[in-house]
Amino acid sequence: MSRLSYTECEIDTGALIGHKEAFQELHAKISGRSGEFGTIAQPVSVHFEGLVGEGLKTVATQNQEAWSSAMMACIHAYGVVQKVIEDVKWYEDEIEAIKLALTVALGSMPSTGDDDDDASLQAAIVEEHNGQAREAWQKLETKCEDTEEQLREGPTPGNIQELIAAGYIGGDIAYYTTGDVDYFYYEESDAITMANFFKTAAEGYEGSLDALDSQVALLNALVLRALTAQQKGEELSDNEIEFLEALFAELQIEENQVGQLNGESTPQDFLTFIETLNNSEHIDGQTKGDINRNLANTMLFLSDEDLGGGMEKLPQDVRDLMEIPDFPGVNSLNHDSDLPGFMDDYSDWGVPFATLSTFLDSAGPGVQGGTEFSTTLMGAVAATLEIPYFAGEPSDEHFQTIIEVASRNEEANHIIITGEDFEGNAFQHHESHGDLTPEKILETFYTHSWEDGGAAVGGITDWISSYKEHGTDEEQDHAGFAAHALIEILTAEDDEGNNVFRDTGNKGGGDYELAVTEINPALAESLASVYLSYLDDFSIDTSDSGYEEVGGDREDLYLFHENGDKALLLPNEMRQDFLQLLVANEELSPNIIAATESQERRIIEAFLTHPNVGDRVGGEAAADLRTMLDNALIQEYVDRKQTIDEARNSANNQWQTGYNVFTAVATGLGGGYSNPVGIGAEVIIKILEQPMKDYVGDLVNENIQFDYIEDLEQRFMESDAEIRNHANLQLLDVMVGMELIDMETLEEEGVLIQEEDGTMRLPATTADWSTGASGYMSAVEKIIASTSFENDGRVDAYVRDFMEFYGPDLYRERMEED
Amino acid sequence: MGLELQNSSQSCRTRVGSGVRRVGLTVFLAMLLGTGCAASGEVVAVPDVVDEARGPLTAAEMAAVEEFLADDSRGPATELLSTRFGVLALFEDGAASFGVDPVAEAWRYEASGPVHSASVSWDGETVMLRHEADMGPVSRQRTAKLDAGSGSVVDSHDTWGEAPSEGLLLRDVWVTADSEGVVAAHPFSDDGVAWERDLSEGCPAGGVDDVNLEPNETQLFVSYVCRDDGSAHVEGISAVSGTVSWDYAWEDASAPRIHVLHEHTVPAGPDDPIERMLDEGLSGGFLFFASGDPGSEPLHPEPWRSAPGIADYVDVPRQDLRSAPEEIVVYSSTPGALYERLVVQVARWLAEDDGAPFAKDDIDDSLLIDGELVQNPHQWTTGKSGYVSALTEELEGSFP
Repeated sequence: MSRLSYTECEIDTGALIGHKEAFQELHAKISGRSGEFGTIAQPVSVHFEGLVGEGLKTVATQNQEAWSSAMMACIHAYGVVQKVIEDVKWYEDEIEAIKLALTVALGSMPSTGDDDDDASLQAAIVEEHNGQAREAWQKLETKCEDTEEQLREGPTPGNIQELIAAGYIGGDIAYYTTGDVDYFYYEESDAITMANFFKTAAEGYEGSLDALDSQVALLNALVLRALTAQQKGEELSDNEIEFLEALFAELQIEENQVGQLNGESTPQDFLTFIETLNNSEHIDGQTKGDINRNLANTMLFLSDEDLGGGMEKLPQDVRDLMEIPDFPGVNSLNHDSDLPGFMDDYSDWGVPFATLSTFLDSAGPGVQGGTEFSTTLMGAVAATLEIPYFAGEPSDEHFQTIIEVASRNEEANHIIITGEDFEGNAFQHHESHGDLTPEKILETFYTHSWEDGGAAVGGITDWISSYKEHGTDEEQDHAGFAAHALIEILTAEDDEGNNVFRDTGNKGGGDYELAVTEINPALAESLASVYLSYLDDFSIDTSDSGYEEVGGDREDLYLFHENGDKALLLPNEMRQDFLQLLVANEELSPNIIAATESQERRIIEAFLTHPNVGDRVGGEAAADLRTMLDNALIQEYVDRKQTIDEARNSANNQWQTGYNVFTAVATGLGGGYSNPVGIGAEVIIKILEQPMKDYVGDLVNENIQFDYIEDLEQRFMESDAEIRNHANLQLLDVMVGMELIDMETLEEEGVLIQEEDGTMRLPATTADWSTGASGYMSAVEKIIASTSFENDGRVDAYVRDFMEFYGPDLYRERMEED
Repeated sequence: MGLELQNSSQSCRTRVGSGVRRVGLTVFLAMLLGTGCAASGEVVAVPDVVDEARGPLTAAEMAAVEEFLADDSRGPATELLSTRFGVLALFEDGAASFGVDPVAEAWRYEASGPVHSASVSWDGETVMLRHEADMGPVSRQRTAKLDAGSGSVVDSHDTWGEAPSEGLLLRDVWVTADSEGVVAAHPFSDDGVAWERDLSEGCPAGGVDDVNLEPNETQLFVSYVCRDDGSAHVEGISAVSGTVSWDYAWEDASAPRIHVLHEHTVPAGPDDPIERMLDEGLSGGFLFFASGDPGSEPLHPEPWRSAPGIADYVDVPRQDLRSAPEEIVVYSSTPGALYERLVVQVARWLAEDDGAPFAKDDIDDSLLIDGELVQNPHQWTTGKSGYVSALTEELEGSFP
């Protein structure tokens, strides 16, 4: 007799087997097939009508939902009982194994020669095995608790799938019963069937055509499952991945028709199948679209490492397309006779690549591919975009599509920008793509004049602001790291001071080289969203460069950060160069200006409400930001070969529009009394983050009127008085927003602007006052001086420091006109 | 649009434009023909050092470069200048830029003749060099503008024929002065005269003495004394036109010395007048302007403004022009940036002065780097304005 102490399981598996069969009999009765055996284990049909016997067919079909629910209850109970049987059997097997191990251990134990010691040793061995038995019992208890939970939940698709996956119930009886694809259990054999339906339907087999809708529905259900898993960060089950692999594998076999397998097959490219499908005269357009969409979705899912897929699981021909042939270099085409060979080579690769692009374009907008596949797709475009070609495919649109689809994967974008994945591992690009670096890829993508204005390539950076604003700490780190790498690349100059993103070489018919933001305005929007989301970081006084923790063993250094916070640190010149790239787009420039105007006010508010921050921090931060923007504007126009005076005028015009955008947004939001901070400068920035739009024009269309600044005579702030007025006006605005000053007081003092509809608002700039500003500003200064609050010493400090640190180069003697 | 070929004496760049994917074969032929890329051959750079060579610099680091060069085969440096990227050493026949941590040569410019002069731009980004570049028996002066970071030649002009070797480099002209006070500006590309100004025209009669010239890129600052009536003058002369942009004059005074100070000028380094001002107790004779603009109001600088008690130990600089200052400092950046530098330098000086009620031990540890007070505010690489605020507060507390 074993010395093992363990808990006996009182569940009688013999009785359970009887119960299980009872449920099967009950199922047979409900199905009207009481004379038949094993209606759960061996379904008699693949659909509800077939499962139900002739005698009950009419009534059951009329009450299908209730009938199938009853049948599903039996199926579920059958599966659950089987699970319990298996669990108990598992426990009993475990106990037997432990008993045997104990016997062996005791039998092989050498004697120490001391009875007491021997007894102690034996007791220890027994106790060790008793522990194993207790552990097995605990596991059984857990399994039983899971079973109870399953029973409580009933026959949900998840529970049924689980029972099928564990082998407690077989096949797709639940799917056949309910007709609900959520109950479908995807297996390789189903994939082969589905693939053959697709292939033979394309050739016009009627039975296959009839089955297409249900097959597409099945595939669509898996797509939805995968989409949910992708969004939740979960994996697909092994059988689902195997199903997808088998599906694509089967589609790479030509004419492998159901019932005609003889062990031989003719391989075909997957993309050839897609061409055949799309050219088929037998399938209607909508169904073709559905098949394409679902297959494209599943291909992207199958490539996703996080779902359990990977690029290596994709069809061979798709993977082969990632290998760029060694096209002859432009310099080696010495004669016209070389051309046909070049074109043939290019076409051999380009035509299927274009097919792949069209195919992937049919994927759902929320579906993304795996990191390696997405990165490699973009690498393939980067490696081929600049190859001269003469006709045919792929076209720009094909390349755009590839980038649009591939850039849905944020980690792939991170690799494109930084060269590293989210874990910091260097990505090894496909060897046929040449020595791709982030610099090379971004230069290739950004300097290209895209038909969509750079919308697709904008996808490579769109995620950064989203991760920054809404991401987890980890995602914010990824965004910050990428933002830094991006700006570093975009602002780098070669040894001769050239920057390919600022001066692309493309003059667009004008007399100066366009910036990438002018060539591709949609890209400009994406880059602007990076700027807007890191505005607070742009206010850090730093000469460091990186995405790093802000240091310093003090609590008084930063307006928007605490010690230890990670922030995007950029030296002044890098920030300015990045801003110049943004304001080079004159459509976008006013929005950048308006956002900067708002940010100055946020800086003031933070400065006034954070008394611990050093006295000089607020004024210097606002002045630096304003200086940076002014310099960027001026430099942009100087780079356009404008004279200094012309550059000042051009930049001034941008400021004028910027003020109008700022006022338009504030007025549009405000109504009644409106002032920007009352609305919230942060809100204004958020609104400006929306896709670039003409705020002024839109508001006019909405009949929201305000006094436009039509001739900003103020130009740039050059005199001390102008700079002081600017700082004071912004201070007043912030103090109103902080409810230190009320609008009625301002109205009484006559400093408000009255719009035609009666709205009263603060001016965005002194130029808003139609008559000279000096009288108004005296009143403003008087109001500020008479307003007392706990940190009012900061008001003087702010104005003083703003004046002392604001210093765009435009008034320097060195900028004087030649 | 097709392929664009750009050949110049400085660089050879082939850029593939956006529409390049639809070019014809003629372009390929053009490419084949488009050879002949001349390299300057005068600059040698060490990329790793170029990448690492960054400010801010300290006087000790400049001294380290000087020591490093003591045994250099090119001979001792004739002058050391600071740039935003390191220390520029001038030699008899060339120049070299050094990173400082550790000292290593980032690039060198090998001139083909004696170097006459060099200047660093206000932002420390570019360097101008003027040197002889004779072609056999024919004299030639070359003025080269270099990227201070990489040493690349950004621009280069030659003047053929003899030219004065003594002079000052401004943005577009080479300025010389004779013993009679006649200042002449020479273009870089020819041996003509862009403009000429006789300083004695500012005097009622007679010539000028004590002529002091200080270049500031687009302006030439001059000071002199009229021999006849003893009046002192300072002027700002446009480098482009030669016209006087601003001027001040005082009766019976010495000619003030003028200094142009940049953000990249190393505190306590060879070009920094402030350290000398403090060491020699000269602050009461100093007058400060900022933003490169002596035409504006003189400054009431920090830390004296916030901590007036400092005046008991360091005289308050001049704040008006009623009498002639002894020295004028024109800071090329904003007043705020100048004040940050002054706060740090004055605080350091006071901390080392046994007579002042302020010592390093009084300063909060968080303001020190490796236990030492910074020499250059830019050593606080992140949060500089906060640190300077805190240091100013400490001075306010000690010198109310």
